Amino acid sequence: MARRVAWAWLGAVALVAVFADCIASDRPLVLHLDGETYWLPNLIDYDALDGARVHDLAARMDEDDWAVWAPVRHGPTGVRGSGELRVRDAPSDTHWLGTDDRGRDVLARLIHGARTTALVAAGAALLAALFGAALGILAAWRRGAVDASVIAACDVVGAVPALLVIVAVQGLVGRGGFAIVIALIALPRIADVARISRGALRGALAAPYCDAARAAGAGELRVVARHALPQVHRALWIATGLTAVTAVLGEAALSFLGFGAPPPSASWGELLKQAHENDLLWWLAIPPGLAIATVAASLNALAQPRDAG
Amino acid sequence: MTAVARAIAVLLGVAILSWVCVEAAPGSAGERAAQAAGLLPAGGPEVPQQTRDAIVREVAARYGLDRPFAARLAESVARLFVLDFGMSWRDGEPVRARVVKALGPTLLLIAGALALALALGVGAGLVAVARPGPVDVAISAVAAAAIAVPPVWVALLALDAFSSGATSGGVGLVAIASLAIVPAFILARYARAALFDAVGAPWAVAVRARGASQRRLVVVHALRASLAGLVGVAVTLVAYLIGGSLVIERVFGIRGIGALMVDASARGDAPVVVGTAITAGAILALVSLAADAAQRGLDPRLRDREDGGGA
Repeated sequence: MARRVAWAWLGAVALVAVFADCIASDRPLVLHLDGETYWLPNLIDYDALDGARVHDLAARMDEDDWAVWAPVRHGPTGVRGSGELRVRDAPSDTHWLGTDDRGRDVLARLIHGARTTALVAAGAALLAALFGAALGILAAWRRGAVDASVIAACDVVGAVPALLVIVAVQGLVGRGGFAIVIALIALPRIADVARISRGALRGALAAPYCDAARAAGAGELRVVARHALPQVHRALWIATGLTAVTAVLGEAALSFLGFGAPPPSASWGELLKQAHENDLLWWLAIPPGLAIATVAASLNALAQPRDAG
Repeated sequence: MTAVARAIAVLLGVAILSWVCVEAAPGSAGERAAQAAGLLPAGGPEVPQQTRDAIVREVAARYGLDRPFAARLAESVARLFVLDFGMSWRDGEPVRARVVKALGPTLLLIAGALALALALGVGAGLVAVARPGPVDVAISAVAAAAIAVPPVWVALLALDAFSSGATSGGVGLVAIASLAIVPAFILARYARAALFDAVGAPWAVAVRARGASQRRLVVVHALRASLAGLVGVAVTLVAYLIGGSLVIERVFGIRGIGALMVDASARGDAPVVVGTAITAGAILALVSLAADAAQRGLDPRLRDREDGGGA
């Protein structure tokens, strides 16, 4: 039951992340203007519409023209095109979740922030699962010096406070791109996944059925790949799920400190940063916090051992 | 003694790696020092190149950045042995003075959070084992879910709830409590598992056979048997607490090591970043050395295994 709710919520957030540009955009999905129909001007830049935002378009449209708008008529970085700039505006009919301290729509930033979160969670989980499993397999297969050095490296990486390292590296080398941040978030999890998969593999390799495979003439690599590896997938799945939890929470903390997604990209942690800097206005503090907490909790629920009862 | 030597080697490695990172970054060190001091606009073509060069040259000369990298690296490493971290690129102040000033609040925060987490976590574990059934199930369920709570958000909400009319000491306690939440649940999970293992061990039957009550078995014998393992978990949590202190210090406006590092990183003030990183590393190293000694004291099996290898 809990798993189903978790899957449903994560699926919904993933859909929002993928279709963020169609859910919250200051440009229409379909536009009929001056006898011409433009499909998806929210994604495609038409020369004829050059730089036209919601308010310019409204002014240019006459009676024959029509448009299909996104449910939320604000982009994540756009500010009010006409009328006065409204910063820290309370939720209203035009801004359903208010505006931030630069006059940007909070709901739009929340929706586009899902994209940042999904990118970090998926990227870090993928990196950690791939490299962690590869290192774990290598260590369990070659044993001896290879095993010892992999474990020693994992111990060192695992003992380091990840958040501090990511902040320090960006201070020393300069602000990196988002890909570097994702890789740095994944790094300690690679060590953890490697340790976990190595341990599980070692356990499986000592089992009688692996001895049977060896007796039947299988090489050690084949025993690892065909007989031991399938036993490990559950441990790997749990470790990967925990990686996604760590990544979501880590990105939120980093963006809160100003070392996450580079501005002006939208991020839930960045909204919390704004809340902190603006007297904890509830529409800046509560929605992103709930989003982070529910996504992390869902990932965590899926990463629990299934038969734990 | 080897453990101490290893810790020193790791800290020196951190310093060398950090300075190599600085050197490998785009732009010369002098340029970045000038930027950190706010003397150069980040990307300003409006300043004539000659003026820029003059500023960079002067700043580089002030911090000795005009010398070859190897010489600078050797000097910074040598200075570490007298606990000298050099001068801040922001204002030329000694980094050590700033680190020393920030050390107190951070140590208080981390030690307080660790103590609170241990008290809560071990307490919850004891309750879970003493009263198996609904209480235990509830504690386990909450502990499993709490790992996913975003500490940033909890801290913000706590700040909002307690900030009005609280004294600075009160704010400090709220900060410690916010930092302690996740470690407390991790410890509760571990303590519960370890205590259940201990109660189910063969020697526990012997303790019961001698007439000990369940409470005495859990509180005196099982807890004693779990202590060495708990110390091990607590050490790994110190790394978490140091990372978490970056966020907590920011939220509650505590001027500790974490806040110092975040500000320095945002500015590109490399000497302060390196200084705080080494300080954090030293805290971790000292804690793990102390924990090794404590574990050896608590668990005679560890002593016997490493006979002759100790201090």
